[in-house]
Amino acid sequence: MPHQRKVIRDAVVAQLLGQTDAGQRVFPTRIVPLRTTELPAISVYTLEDTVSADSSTTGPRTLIRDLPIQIEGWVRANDNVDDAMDELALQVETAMHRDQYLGGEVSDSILDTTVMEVVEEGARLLGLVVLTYAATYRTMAPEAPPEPDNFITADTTRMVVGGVPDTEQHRDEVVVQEIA
Amino acid sequence: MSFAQLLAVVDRAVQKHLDSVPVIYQSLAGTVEVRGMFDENYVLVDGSAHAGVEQVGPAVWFRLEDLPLHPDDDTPLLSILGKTYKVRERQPDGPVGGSIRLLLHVVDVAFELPPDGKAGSLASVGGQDPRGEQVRRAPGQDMRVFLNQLGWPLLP
Repeated sequence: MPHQRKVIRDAVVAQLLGQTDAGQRVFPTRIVPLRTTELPAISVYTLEDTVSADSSTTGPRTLIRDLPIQIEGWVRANDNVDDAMDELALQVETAMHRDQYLGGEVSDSILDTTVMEVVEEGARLLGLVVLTYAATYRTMAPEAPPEPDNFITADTTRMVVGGVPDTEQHRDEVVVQEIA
Repeated sequence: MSFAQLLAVVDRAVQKHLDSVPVIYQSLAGTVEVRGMFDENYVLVDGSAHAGVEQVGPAVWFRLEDLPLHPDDDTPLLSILGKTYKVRERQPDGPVGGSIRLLLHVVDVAFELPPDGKAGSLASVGGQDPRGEQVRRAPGQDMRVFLNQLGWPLLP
């Protein structure tokens, strides 16, 4: 069973796919650089997860988590790069607002910050817009799989090699650990 | 021979051997064809993003006396190998400032030649002086001196 963070990340990608000028170019945790011809493109990151202090009073143990979801969008444009960034940001906000519960995977999600950057080092003027959503979700503390029963005693039975057919088998009973 | 003159000679020799490319240079003072050393190196543009964008960083090098105006006083458009560029950064080059490296951005505009369809030479660069008389830049004339002759307000 995957971690809930992966489920949420995939839900965000699914919610954005085909809903912006990036079309199908929406990637979870993209690290490989993009090419200029692939823009606009969006990458979704969930790299930091904080558990609320209130979780310590829950029983059975429930983890109340605050997850920033970073949605990074690259656009290419000429001098109107700011307009292009705002347009992509509006499309992302619209798609995210369509279902703030991300298909039931989070308790809530709301836009927290938008940061825009104009990057000019290369042949094309590019714009980077980062929208961060604050998402809240809960998980039960995961149960460890049950351990095997304690190994308390062992029986061994040995045949004597080369013995006659009616030679008695040798049987031992060993106590591995003593139970108080 | 002064150091600056020596450097100019070396620059010319290198320019000749390293296959400079023709550049149509649309300056405020007119459109001319000059030769420059063009380069497109790999640049990874990432800003503060987790995944950057692969690009090339086009740049062109000129001897300053080949240009109609000093790039500091100009907003040129350049046509190089079929693409149109504008200048994003000017980097004076060399210890005596006789050359310049221009970092470029691609722009999606069609490059327009003068009505006669030809880029001129430096000798065709000219304009009207404050008295309304036609002035041409003399070969080898310092461009700032020439611009002062034209009375351009952007010069000190």
